[in-house]
Amino acid sequence: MNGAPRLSCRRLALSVAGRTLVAGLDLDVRAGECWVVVGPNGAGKTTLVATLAGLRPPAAGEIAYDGTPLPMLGPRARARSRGFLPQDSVDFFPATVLETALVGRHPHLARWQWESAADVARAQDALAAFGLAGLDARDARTLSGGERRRLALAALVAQDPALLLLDEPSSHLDLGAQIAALDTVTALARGGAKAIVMVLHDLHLALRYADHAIALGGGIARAGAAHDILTAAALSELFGHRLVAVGEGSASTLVPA
Amino acid sequence: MPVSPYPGFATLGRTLAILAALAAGALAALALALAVGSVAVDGTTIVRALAGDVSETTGAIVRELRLPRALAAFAVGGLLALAGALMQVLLRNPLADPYVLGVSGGAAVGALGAMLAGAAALVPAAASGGALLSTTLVFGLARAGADRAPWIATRLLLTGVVVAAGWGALIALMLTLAPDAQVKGMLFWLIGDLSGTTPAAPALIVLAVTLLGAFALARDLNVLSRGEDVAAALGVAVARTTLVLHALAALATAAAVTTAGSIGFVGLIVPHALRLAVGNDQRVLLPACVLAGGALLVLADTLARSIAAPVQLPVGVITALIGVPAFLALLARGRPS
Repeated sequence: MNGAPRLSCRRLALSVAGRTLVAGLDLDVRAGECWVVVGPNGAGKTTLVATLAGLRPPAAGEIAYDGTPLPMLGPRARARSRGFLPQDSVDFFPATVLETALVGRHPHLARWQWESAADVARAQDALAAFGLAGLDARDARTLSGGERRRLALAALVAQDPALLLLDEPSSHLDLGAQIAALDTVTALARGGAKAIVMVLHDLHLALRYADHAIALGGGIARAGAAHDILTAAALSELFGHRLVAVGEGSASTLVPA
Repeated sequence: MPVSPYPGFATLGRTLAILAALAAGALAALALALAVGSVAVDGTTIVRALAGDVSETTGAIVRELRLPRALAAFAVGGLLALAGALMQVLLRNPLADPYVLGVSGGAAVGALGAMLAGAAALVPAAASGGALLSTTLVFGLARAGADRAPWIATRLLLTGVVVAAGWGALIALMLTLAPDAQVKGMLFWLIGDLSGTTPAAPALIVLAVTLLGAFALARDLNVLSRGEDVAAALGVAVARTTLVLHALAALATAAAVTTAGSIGFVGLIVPHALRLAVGNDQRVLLPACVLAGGALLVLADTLARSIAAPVQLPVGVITALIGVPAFLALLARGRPS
């Protein structure tokens, strides 16, 4: 490991339809870190993670993976370094659960190569990690919303990227499944080799899983250690409503006063 | 070789088994096409005729009449099914095919225009030009302002439907203006007909080239079938890949339409039926479409020239008569999503 951050950006600016959402964002996301992006609707959370994933061009600034500037990486090289979980996924054609998870292996296979036994085993392990073992042959379109979300996470884990960018990974999941899925995902960062940036709506989940955080809102992005960013005072201002801390330890959260 | 995790999982071995079975079916269809007609020819005679070792008349019937026609039918069926399969993935819509997108309509306008102008020799070139023009038009119009409209596939389909309607009006206009003597030829061409003497070799070559090109991109197509965002995140160069695939689909359609006029339903029904039977892995589906589409059109053409003999029906009538009920049955049987 050369010590370069898994993901870094300098003077990053984002704009949508001429409106500036973020300007001058500097960020270093290192292996082992779990960053959470919070902010009100329309603040640019989705735009930020999609831009960090290299799926849309920034209005200004530079992004690098492991010290290599994004423009020097082709689509395949990017897909081997980072994985991206979109907010929603749509199934246009029938596909089984295992086929869907195996899609994550695409960037690792050469043009004429077929998935090996090792690829299949990796996809099955990922499915098992999200509680989908034994559903290999099911048509993915017959799964529930929560199961499909976990399937999308399993495909991402099968992709095995060093940097995971997740847009609302806990959406469609019930409370127990939220904790189970996010425990599994964040354990990848706690293992030391991977880094995570994820958008979370639920402040309880943000407080529970973030070691670093980015607060987006009103055209300003603040980034830093979670205990500096995710404070009751700062988030009250961000969401435009006074928030108070309740609960203790892993059950603590901020609720509207 | 991985052990199949469940029956029906697309391993390389299963793929080869499916393709071998379909290839055997296609060969059987070709043999039938050589055997059936005003002069029935048995199996051993066919083999001897192909080897150039029978009486002059029977040999000529098999080698010079039935074989080129059967090969042309196979090539056209394969091309249309391949074009349909590609367009369905590109638009992520099982309703897409060369017809719906107006590619066949553009080819028909080119061909009928050449016929009206009295330039029969230019019909193939005009049909190809029309197909490519239509693809460029639809693709260009749908891409224009695409950054403001994220649903590019829906835009493409809508643009195709509207452009196809425009071609339809031009076709009706040309049929109205055409001298009576030409109308029957034009109608046969519009419905799709293999009784002409167009050589099969160009279509077979285009079939080989487009299949190879599409097969090289088959796993990219698997990822693209899940959406352009997903494909981009998984390392597919989306803009370049879709452009190549549209070009391959237009080329396949142009070659098919040039050889046999505009035959409907093969591009729609073959990929759809095979997707239900073998799944949506494009590494299986694309070659399977070529074999099954080719075999289907060989059988349909054999039926078209023998069912009402000595009258030869346009093969497009047969494909539509088989296609419509088969498609409705598939839809009714298909699992709800």
